[in-house]
Amino acid sequence: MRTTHSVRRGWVIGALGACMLVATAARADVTTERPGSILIFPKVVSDGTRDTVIQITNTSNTTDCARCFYVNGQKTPVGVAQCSETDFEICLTKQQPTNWLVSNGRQPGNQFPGLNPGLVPPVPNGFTGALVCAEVDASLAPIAMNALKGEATLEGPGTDLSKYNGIAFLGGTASGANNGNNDLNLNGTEYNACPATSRVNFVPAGVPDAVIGSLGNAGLCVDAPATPCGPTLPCATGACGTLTCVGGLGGPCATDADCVGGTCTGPPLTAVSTNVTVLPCNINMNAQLPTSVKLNLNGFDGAEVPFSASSSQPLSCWGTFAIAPPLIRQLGTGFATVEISSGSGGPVLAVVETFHSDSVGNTASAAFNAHMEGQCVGACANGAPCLTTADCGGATCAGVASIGSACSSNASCGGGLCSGPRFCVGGGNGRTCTSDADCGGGTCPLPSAIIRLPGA
Amino acid sequence: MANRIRSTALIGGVAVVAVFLLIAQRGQAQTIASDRAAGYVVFPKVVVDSGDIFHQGRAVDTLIQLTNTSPDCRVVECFYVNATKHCSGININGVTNGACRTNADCIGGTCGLATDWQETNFFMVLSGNQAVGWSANLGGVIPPDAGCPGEPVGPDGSVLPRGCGTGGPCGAPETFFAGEVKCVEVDGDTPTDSSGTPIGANDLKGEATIYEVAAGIPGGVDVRGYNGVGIQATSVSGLPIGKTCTGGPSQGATCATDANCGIGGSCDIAMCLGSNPTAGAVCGTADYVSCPSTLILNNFFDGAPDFKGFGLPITTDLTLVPCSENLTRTGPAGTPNVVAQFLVYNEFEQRFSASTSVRCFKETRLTDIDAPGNPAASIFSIFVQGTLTGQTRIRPVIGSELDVGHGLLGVAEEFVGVGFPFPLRGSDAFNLNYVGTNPGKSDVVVVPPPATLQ
Repeated sequence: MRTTHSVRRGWVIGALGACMLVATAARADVTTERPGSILIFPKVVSDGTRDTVIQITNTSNTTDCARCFYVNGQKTPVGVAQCSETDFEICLTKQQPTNWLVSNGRQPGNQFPGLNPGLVPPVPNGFTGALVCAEVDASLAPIAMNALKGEATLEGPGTDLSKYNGIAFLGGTASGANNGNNDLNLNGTEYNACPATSRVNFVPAGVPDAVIGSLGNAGLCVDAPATPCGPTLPCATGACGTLTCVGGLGGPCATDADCVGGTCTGPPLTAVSTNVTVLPCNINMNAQLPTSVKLNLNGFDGAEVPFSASSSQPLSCWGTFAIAPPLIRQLGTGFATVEISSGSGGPVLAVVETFHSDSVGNTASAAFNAHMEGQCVGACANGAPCLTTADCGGATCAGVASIGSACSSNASCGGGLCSGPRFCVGGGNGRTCTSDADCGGGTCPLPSAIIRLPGA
Repeated sequence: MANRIRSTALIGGVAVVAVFLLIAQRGQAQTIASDRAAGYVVFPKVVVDSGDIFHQGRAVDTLIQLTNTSPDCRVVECFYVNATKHCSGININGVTNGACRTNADCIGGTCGLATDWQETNFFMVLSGNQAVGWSANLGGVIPPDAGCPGEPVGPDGSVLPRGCGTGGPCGAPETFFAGEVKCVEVDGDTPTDSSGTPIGANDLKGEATIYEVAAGIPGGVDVRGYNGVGIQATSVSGLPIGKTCTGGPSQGATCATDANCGIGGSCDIAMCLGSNPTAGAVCGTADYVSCPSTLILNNFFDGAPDFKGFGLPITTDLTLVPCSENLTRTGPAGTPNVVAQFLVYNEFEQRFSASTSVRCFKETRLTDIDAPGNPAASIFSIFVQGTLTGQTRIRPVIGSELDVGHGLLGVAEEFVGVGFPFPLRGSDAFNLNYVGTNPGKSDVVVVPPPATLQ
């Protein structure tokens, strides 16, 4: 009997230990396709032309509650983002999905069928910003159940739709990983660290839309400028102009000869534009203080020619911009890629939307989640991030040689972890760093970003 | 004796911890993800209908973008996996063995040939950090950069762009195409010196944008995009994976030639997605991470009204493709039959279930999964569920085979409105969520050997 108990106890100890480790190990990277404990929708719009549908689901078999916050990035008349927050709570029963249109919210008066997740307020007209939801317990203290997934659908104009997945941060489920206070630390221990960079593939501005150009209204007839044309729709007479004249008489053109006194070098009549929306990972919703973030863009065109840019004004609490001149230079190839990172002020999240138009003004959009890349840190034996053995209580900090290098998974980190970017503390003006030497007397600590919730 | 058992138990317990620790360390390392660069990228749905052959009032094409995120040159082998169906006789356009969607598109025959589902491959060379894109209808061109070995050179010595056949992207094999595109980083420096063997690297990121466009007045444009599904390699050594015996008495053993594999076996380039420790399994060790055990779709129930008050119905199309594919074969023999179990939860926490079979490629409206032709009776219908949205958990049923797995990948598309014209219709696409893996199970992708490459 004793033996049986001992056997049982041994395996139970093992199983418990295993479960704890698995729980810790479930701490993968920030993700757009796995449930998490913090769910962020960086782009939420309700401006009269476009509106946003939020879908959130509890993927667990127990009730999951969350505190949610709209972060208002709408600019004031003086051009500064408001950075105010509006919060509410939702509770979802096991496996329950829910949804709402942000301009309406979800209230008893406009109740949709289904279990009521709680009162969801509408956003004010003209709202542009983000939605952040964090799992909480009954006392509204943050917890990590890693059960929330969601999507945002941007609707309009008209029936146009584009959709992206909410960005999920997994929370640490090991004992003591989450201290339950209102500072959500995105440090790789309490929650996943923010990504170091967001990579976006895009069609450079000024490049014709290749598909519309081959199958749709690629241009306008030079002889009848109101008439669309294209490879599948030839003009009755004259050429199909896919560009616009610069100077001269203006209008569509196929060659310089179509532009009396001008040149056929104007913008194409089909277009693709790529818009990136960014949200800082440091969000102080308690004090409603804007976060000053300076963005860096580093990319390559299709001929591997590099380009770079940085935002002229610091980003406050939310921002959206087109990847186009004058932010970047005019690119000469049909496709390009860019990495967006923060030079100072902490890391950022990003989503992408592309807008496509033909020669008669038909438009459509599509949304994408950006690819997220990390920065290597070391790993203690228990999986905790480290920079030196001191971070591991004197034990080995594996992967030290790879610290600071870019990564897409732990496999690139030589035994370390693919985590978030690091920023100077106590010197270096909070700029990004890979070692203390970058920080002018300050230090370059382990990755961290704080979402500070208001008191519950 | 009791002490010995106790010790054994404790050791066992410690062993479990150790095993899980290892799994934990490894499990954190790589993942299937559409938001991370990977060595093997799958675009589950690529469609082309440049000629609008079924007179839908629009042409269709898919723009694929792919970037090499590493600073080094990479040879990438891509496969169009053609799941287009063909008539046994002529189709409604009078084309013998022409493309079809259903039997109604065929005159005097049926839709579907034994040879439907086959691959067409091409090689690309991507220089460091190079971003490329191409139309599945037309293919594309990679600008010259003189950065990688074997660049095509013109008579004047200038470096030429890479087109189809010279290290650039090719178009789909048919002008009406439905299927997948999958790209994998392979060995070699040029298309001609690559053996087509995948290497341990995670450098590719990609997106697919599906276009539906109409020329004329009013014309129209509708686009929807999703991220390619990245399957990360378990090693970033840059080394090619080994060849493995499939079939025969030595299945799972490393090999150099078919002779090493005994009677009935062949020595194949087999990409192992996960590992199966069972003796005789093709994949004793993993080259890539496992396919997920569950896919999660948040969906509007078909027929739900659009939020903007147009009174238009929302519908969702789901595309599922198997993780295990033998690209050396054609037709149904190329993939296992996978039973997909659907668990559907509405906003009342009520649970429903349905199932369907997936072989080769399955694109289906949700209501066609359980009630084809009678959408109002489907568990995916708002008229049955009564709530706008649901959570659909898709679980492929695992099997015991040693040479294939039963993993699935997928992508979802939403449509507002029905058919055309464009002003009354919109669409989007998005990636599914993934949860878990099936320990001890692996999926196998057999890549054609160089001799059969086109």
